[in-house]
Amino acid sequence: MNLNDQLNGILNDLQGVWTESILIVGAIFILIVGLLDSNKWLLKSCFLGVLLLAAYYNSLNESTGLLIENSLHIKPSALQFGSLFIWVGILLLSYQRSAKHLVEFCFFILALLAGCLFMMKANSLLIVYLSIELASFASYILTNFSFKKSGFEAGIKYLLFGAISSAFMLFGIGIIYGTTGTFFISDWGIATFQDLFSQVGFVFLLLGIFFKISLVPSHIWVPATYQAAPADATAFMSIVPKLAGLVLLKNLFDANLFVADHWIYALILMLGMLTILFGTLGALRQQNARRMISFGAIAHSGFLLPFALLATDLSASSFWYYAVAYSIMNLAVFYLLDVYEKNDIHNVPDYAKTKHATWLGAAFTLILISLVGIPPLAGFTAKFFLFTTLWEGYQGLANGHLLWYLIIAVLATVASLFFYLQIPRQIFLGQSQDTQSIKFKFSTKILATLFCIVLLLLFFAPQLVMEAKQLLNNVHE
Amino acid sequence: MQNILTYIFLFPLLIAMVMLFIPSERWRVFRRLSFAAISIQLILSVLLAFSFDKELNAENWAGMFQFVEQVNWINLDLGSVGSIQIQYFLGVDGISMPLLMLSSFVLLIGVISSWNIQEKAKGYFILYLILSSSIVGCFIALDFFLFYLCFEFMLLPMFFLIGIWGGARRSYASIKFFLYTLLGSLFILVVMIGLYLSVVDGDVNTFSLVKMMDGAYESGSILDPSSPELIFGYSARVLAFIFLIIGFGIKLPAVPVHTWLPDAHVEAPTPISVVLAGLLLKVGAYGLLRIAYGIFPDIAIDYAGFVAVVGVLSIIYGGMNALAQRDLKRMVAYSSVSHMGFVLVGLASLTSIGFSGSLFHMVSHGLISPALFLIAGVIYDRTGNRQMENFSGLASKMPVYTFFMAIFFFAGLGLPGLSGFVGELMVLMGAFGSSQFSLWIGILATSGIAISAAYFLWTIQRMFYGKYFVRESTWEPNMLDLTAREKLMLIPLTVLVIVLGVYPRLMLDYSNETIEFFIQQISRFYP
Repeated sequence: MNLNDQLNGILNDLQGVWTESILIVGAIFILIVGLLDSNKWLLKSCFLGVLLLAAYYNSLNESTGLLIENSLHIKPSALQFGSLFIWVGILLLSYQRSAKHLVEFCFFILALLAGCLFMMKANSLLIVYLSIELASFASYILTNFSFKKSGFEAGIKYLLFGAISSAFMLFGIGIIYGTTGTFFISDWGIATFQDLFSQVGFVFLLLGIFFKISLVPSHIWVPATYQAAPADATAFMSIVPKLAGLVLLKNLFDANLFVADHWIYALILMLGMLTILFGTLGALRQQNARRMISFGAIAHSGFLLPFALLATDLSASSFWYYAVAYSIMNLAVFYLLDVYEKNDIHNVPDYAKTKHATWLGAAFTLILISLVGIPPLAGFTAKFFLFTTLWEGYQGLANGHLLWYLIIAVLATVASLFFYLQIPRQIFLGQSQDTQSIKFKFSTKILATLFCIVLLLLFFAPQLVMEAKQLLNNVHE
Repeated sequence: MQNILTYIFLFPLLIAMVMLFIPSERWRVFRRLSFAAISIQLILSVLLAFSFDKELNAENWAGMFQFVEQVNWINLDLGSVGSIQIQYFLGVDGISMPLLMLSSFVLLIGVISSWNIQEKAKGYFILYLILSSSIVGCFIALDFFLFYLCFEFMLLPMFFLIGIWGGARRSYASIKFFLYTLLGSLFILVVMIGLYLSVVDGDVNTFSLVKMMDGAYESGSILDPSSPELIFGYSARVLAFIFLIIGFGIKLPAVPVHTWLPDAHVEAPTPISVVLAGLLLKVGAYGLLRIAYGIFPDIAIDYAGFVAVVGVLSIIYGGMNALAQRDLKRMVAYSSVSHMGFVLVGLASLTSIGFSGSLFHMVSHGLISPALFLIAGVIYDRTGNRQMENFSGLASKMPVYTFFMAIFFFAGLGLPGLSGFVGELMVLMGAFGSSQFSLWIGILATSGIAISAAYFLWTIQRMFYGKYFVRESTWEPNMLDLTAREKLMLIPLTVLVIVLGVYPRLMLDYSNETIEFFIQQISRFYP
């Protein structure tokens, strides 16, 4: 193949990465606009414009399969989740944010988004590494965007932890390349990881991905980071990199690398169970509301993990549903936490001061109840799909770990009710002087109500989520 | 009569939606609207009862249900596993019909009892109506998913009703209630998923309870009776049955898992205690009957002794606890635990008279326990206190009150001529006639009646006999006899308790055919 053909091929393949290119160019464009004029609305509309353009091109993308010298492998799921992430980014605009540092905020969000989209399309381990780093660096900086001492501390913690994880991952990639002679995930098969050494390399690679998913033992950065970062950044970080990491993990395991009772499955499932337990038990003791929800988000990583391991159709559909429901719930819950924090309500007992705000309190309750997974809200359907997937996986694979996973997930759901209910308990049942001084904006109520309506709607008509998936897939096929 | 079940089910919910848009200052509107909504629900269920075909008999469960409404609700295509199909599927048979009537009736009593609630009346009545819809929904849902939805959706309104309008320790009691029952319902959820993956309608997996009862298992699936697979050394069906016993046992409540009930009852406001004791416990019993026994009759035979022992334990332990209480409401709460034990014994007997007895006892207890809580509420409304030692000789001061108290206390301890007697008698006849367990179960259960006589009579002696006395002189001016509203609640309950006690066929005629059919279905599994 001569150079000309090669270049033409690359040019052809480039349309597979139009979305990411738009995001990166858009990010730079916003930086330039910000230099000239720091008007809040102008910047926000630029941000919206870039994301809408990216969403448009993402839905137009027709090239699937291996691209650009095999370094990317575009599957329908990557495009489908890409659309979800872009919409999550668009919904970040509903959060209150002043004009200060807005330019940089938009820039890093777009960079993070681009990194996550690449992560889902990566086929070469080098792209895996680069995209995780891109996403991570944006996250480190976003953590400190509240410009407080605690944010700086959390950012450094996050950075150090991320550095260790990526070192492990790089080490793992090295071992894998040394033992298998290939960087490409698409070359892997059941015969790839036969000897223990390459399996160890694989586990090291996983550690880097677990860092993004916030799975035990790579979860330690989560509470401090989620607590210190600005709410919109936290919402974004708790949704997008985590789900992107899971999609990447699913891409790895779709290739049927191991037999069902392999020790690597057992190890990952064990870590998943530990994640659920750690997140749930940790949340029980928290006083700070945001910290409590962060622990809840760790537990949700554990709930999401089995979808990535089980390569069934049910698992794929359930993953998609859970991801959509989780995104909406997290956007909503961090939005409301932010609203209350702006009124100087940080700790759980402080919520008793907002007794008079019944409407907002009721909406908050519904959202938290949805995070527990109680009908009639989307969170229940998501949990229901999770349990069904686990049960079906157990039936199909006869893997005893999945049964334990199911049991732990069920028990953790009960325990999670206890901490998620702390906030409604304070709002409605608390014994505090109602100060009446806290007023919430009407637009806040409307937005919170809309979130609740969407969650209710997705319970009563889950087909909407699945049809969205169908729609996205049809476009790409 | 078309879609009448939908109207009964969803009308209160609709009214609750309407209430959202009424300004909360106009608090009187809410109670009137609630009264209207539940009255209409009651009228519709009476109409339903009149056109119910008591003689209906069929070959399988699918034929036993009347007024069936079946619409596809959620239809999800999931690729290789086929699709998830959830139906909006309602219907009544001889088991759910009496319970449906009971629900509308007790819910109406509950509204009357809530008449004086002014504080946050809007929220209260909206939650109350949501609760009403979900309770009724449980009794008429024939799709497991729909049943589960209603079953779970009772928790949230109940949590707030106890937590906001309850007594001093309401926060603790409400969260305890929520956690316990959520644990129970998740056990049920796991079984529901297992059943869904095992039962087929045609070639599509289904949630239909009717198909599950008719045993339309996909061959080779995990809950298929002929499946050889074991989980932790037990067959999946045994585990599923045990899970259901735990799940519904928490709601019932059966003894080791009953501890949420006394707290919830003591802290709940009177109307909510009425609904809790009258209906929520019945939902647990109904779930056992319909789902655990209806779908797993083969396991129910093997585990009859186990269920009977749990039942007897509840009877004796609940009774002993009631004997030891000094708070009137707590005493009544433990008496509920004791009485629900009879339901378990009746079910475990697997005889038609035991089953009928259980069902009758459910209805009868659904009338007696609300009245008992109303009676405890009367004292509490007047004094803010319920400790037994603070009162004595009330008979001379409040004769009408004492009269109603006596009727329901005697109904509770099983005096012939009142409904409590019929239910207990039938359960005991079933227990003695059953081939499933030894005579001792029957003998111990009978001794439970003696215990209940002891605590009821002792309470009468302590609080109503003797010289008139109340602890605080400030209570004195409040110690007036029953108001018209209180009589309005107690008189219909009294009438029904007496009528059912004298003429039990009024209810049994509805259930006979279904219970016969049920027992016949179970008998197919005898070895």
